[in-house]
Amino acid sequence: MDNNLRIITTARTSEAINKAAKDGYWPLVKPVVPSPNIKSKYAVFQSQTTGEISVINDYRSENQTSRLNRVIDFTNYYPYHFESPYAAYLIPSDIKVGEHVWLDDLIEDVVGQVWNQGDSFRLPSCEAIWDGKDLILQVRSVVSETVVG
Amino acid sequence: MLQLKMKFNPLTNELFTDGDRLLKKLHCPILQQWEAMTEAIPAHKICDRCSKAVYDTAFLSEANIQELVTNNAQACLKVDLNQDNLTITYTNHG
Repeated sequence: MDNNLRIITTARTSEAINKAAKDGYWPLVKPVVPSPNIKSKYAVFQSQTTGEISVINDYRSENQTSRLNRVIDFTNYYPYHFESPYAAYLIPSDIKVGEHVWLDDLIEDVVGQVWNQGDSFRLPSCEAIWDGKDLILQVRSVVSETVVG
Repeated sequence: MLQLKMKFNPLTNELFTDGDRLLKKLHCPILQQWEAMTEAIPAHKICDRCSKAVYDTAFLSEANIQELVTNNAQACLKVDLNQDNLTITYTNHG
């Protein structure tokens, strides 16, 4: 357990969801929806002699590309990939209304980290409260450029 | 002469050497914040939740970090996306 909270796992394929259902969990199904507030950036540089490319994501890396041609300028994109456009939190049968739990693999797109170069990244996990029908996310407002672990 | 810099992937929270060798995947199960920790000495703090030392990679070289994680696989690190001794990269690794 994290923070002494029960961990609620996430299933991201129909096979995993149905297996969990057979194992006695109730799959709380949710769509996987990319948030427009989460974006990363890339630029592509190419050698005009070999054709090989170098992809950078950090403005500070541009000084390493002085001998290359910029073929794609810095462009925003959604960088995360998931197996399916749906997923499910696996709710144990003995969960109580009002119970605080830890969602180890967040399905919802919540901004967890913001970088001053314009990129923003997903919150991977958070605490939630079971209200009998749904999990209410308890998200701390985090605007941090540091990672610990 | 270009300065060698570590690489950090914020999509996976993996820290790499300049040569793309994985140093550590950062993971805090309680999502503790650096700002909330107690400073022990410059370059590291103590986590108020788990009492572990957390080392600031802005003050450490690749070799320092490699030695740290080799001696203690559970060592905690802190990375700031803007620190001078690393760059952010995720397209090639994420």
